[in-house]
Amino acid sequence: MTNVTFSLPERTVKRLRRQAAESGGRKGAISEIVDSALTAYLDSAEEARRGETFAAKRGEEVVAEAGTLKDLADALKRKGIDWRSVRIVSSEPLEPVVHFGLRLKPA
Amino acid sequence: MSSFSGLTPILRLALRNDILGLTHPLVGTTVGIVDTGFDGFVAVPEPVFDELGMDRLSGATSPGKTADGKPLELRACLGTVYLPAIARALDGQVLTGAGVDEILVGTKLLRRLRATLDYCTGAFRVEPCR
Repeated sequence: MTNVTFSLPERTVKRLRRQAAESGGRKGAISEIVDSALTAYLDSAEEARRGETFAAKRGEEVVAEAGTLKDLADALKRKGIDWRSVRIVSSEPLEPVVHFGLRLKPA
Repeated sequence: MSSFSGLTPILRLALRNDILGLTHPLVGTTVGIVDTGFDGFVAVPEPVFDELGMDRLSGATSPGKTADGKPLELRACLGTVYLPAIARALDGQVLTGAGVDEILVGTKLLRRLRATLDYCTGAFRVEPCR
């Protein structure tokens, strides 16, 4: 464990101490809350930085991978891979439910 | 360029299938209707989907529903929306299905942009997130 010194707004410190007390007030409770909150934030920030990636797969084998579809297309060309022999997939799964807005048009 | 069509914000865009090297339209841009009630990336009419060769790439299907709860069966394929006003190409799932008769831009595409709607001045601007 490493000791870190930083400043927080008083309101945040009050909320932090209240939460630690409600969690049982045991030694180390504040550190646990701060660690948990920071880890969640950093995971999210790193995920956002990574961004979506795209891969060409033959079965389960990844034959090419890139950060954009254009770069993936270029990679397939460079490697002489026929697009018909691969599946193009994204690191982000296709979400199952899509809401379409309701647009009314005159008859 | 972004603007309004009546009261509806629109984006001038081009659609690309970089894997097959196909674009829609062949030259210039077309209109995408900004639909904040649509939580996908972009939806296109079936002829556009097929023109882009997306029916030939390995795609997927996705169940969806309209705001009034009507179920939809959508075909999906990865593709690219190019926004010349900000010189940005955005990749995502291009959807199509029966009843999709316009190019719709959804919130999954918008989340990569700062979109400013100003009905007072009739301005709709988009810029990349910083």
